[in-house]
Amino acid sequence: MPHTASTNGPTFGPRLLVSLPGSWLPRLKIPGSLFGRDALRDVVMPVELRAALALLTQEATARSTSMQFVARPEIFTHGRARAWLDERIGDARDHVALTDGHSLRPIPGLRNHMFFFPRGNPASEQALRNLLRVAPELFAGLASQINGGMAFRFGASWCRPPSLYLRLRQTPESGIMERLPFYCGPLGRQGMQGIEPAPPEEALPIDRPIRYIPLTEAALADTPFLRMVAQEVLEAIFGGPELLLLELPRPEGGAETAGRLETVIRALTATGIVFPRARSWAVQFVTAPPLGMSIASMLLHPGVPFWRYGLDFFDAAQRVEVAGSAAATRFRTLLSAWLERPVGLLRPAAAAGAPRVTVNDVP
Amino acid sequence: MSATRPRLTVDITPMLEDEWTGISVFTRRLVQALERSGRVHLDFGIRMTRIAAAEARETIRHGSGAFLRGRLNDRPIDAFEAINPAQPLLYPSVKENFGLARREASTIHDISTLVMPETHDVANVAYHLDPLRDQLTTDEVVFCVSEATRVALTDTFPWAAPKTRLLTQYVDWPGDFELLDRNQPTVELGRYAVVIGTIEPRKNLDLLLRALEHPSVAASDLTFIVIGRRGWLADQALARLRPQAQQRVKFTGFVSEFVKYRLLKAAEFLVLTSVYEGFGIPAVEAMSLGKPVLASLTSSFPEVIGDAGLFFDPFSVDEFAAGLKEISDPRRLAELAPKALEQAATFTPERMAAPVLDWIGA
Repeated sequence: MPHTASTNGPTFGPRLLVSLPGSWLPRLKIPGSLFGRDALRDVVMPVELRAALALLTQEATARSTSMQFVARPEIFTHGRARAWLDERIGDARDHVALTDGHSLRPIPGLRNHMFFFPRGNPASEQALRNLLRVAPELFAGLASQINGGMAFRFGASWCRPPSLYLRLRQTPESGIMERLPFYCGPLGRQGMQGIEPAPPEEALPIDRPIRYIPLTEAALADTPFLRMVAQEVLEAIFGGPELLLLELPRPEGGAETAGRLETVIRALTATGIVFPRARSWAVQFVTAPPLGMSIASMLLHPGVPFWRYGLDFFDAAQRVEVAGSAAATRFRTLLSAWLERPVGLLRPAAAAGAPRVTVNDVP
Repeated sequence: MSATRPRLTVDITPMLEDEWTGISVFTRRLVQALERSGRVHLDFGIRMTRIAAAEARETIRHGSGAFLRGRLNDRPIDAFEAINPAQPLLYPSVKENFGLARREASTIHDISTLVMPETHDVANVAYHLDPLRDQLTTDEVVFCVSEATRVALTDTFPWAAPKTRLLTQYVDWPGDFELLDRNQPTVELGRYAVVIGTIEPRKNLDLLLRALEHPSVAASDLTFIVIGRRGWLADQALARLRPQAQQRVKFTGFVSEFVKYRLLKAAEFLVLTSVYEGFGIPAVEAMSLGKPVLASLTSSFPEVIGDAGLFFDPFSVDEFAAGLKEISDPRRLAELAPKALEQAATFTPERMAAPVLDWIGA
């Protein structure tokens, strides 16, 4: 049973149309332009997309809304083609466009809701910004943005499509949680092979409070944020009170643990902060969130698709904080509204070193 | 008389292509339709420089931009002359420069780079989308090649709607094709349908290939002649088929206009599986030869084909197979053939020229 809430009233009508990004269509075996959820059953997809679909499915189930997918809403432009679509979608009034940022295809005449699912993927976020620059009108006309807080200036005024908050009560399965000791140094010829995970039967120690930080590509690309994480890592390694769990990011197409780990190590190395050349279990890399455990605190970067965690996971955290060099304040507002609880804001410290030089444009 | 005719500069950049397809041919037809009207004095430009009318006409005679491009490359910089900013400037496609003339118009063929960018390469998406807002903003008139394109564009940019006009093209087979065709041996390919398009995702040829395994299509004696390049994607898709099904599809590669004419004329009908089109000139080409069209129910096809064809859901093999069965019936074909001629005849040079002439007050 999903827990669903919105800042702008009830969600969808009796029937819901959903469209996927066009790039996903070749991976599906679909019987026609309109198809059911079954066509997606065995398709391998990123956790963010799977979670977005789970959110919509559970929302629809909870409200007895029937859900139908439309392959390419953009082809039903007018006349006979549009009449064909209208005849088949019957009383559908809502359309959720699941977007990867490269296109947004609203269906004129319907209430269009945008769900940008690859939050935290720099290429997808850049694509979304490009699209916003080319066609802000597409976004200005949205009935809502699901789990998003996008705002933009369009002409003389600011535009912010209403947010629609959908939440999962339970965090969906995202694979077995593997735990690996923290290590950040040269990978050597063996690469990640020398880093052994904790035996699956070995439970997480309960003598120290857990601090949980999910990492994404966007988080790794945010140097001030990463420096802040690195400082927390050092503190934990050198006897700090908390056990730090760093969830490995899932770079597009790279689901293997070794690749995910290597991405993090390279990013941490690039911060210039030096770590001990030894493995430490005071900080651990995890491949999935630790469900069913009490967590003292959670630190989220604005580039985390937070909605892929259920309320069960957030409820387990005594404290939720956000940090990031950009958009952190807006993200705190969004997350706080989504969670309906206060969220703390941490500001990454300015980088140490020589003061920055700013030059004006007057010679 | 000619002194009173308004002047118009047409940007003929698309005609610099070596092999003319799509937009190059559209540009050539537009120029010829306007000249044929006798109501406008045309000047020509490439980007911001003037091109002598004789050079433009010679390029049209060649049917290729190779010679003109070579000549422009060798021309010293001081030999270039700027276009006249006082007279209206028409771009038959993307407008890359803004404000070269006081009155400008450009042409939108489709917005597929906006709504299905994944079917284009990144450079093509940037080429079309980067200037789009400025293009629409600085245009006095935005010509759209179909109602589908106009609706798609104005659904996205409602503020551009008052500027939009339809600019539909026509088919102009060279006059001697009919005679030349009669003097050639008969096309002996059995019963076949022509399919136009490549294996690229937007053309959706995969649907046809998958349909070959459908019982009703497998039972038919029809073969499919695909006019278009056979890429590795086609090889991949064909490799999934049984050998009997593979034999039913033949790729011609790039063919001349005359070969296309002959293949269409001897075909039973045309198949268009594309999931999105701005206009769909192959449909008009086929209809002009009395050939009905089996087409995807998408974007511009219904308005271009009208009652001269049958439509199917571009993602449904079953619907495609049903449409194929119906249109393969000789009685149905006989019913549709006159409608095809009638529909094709509605697309004329006069119809293409009219909105442009109207814009410049000719």
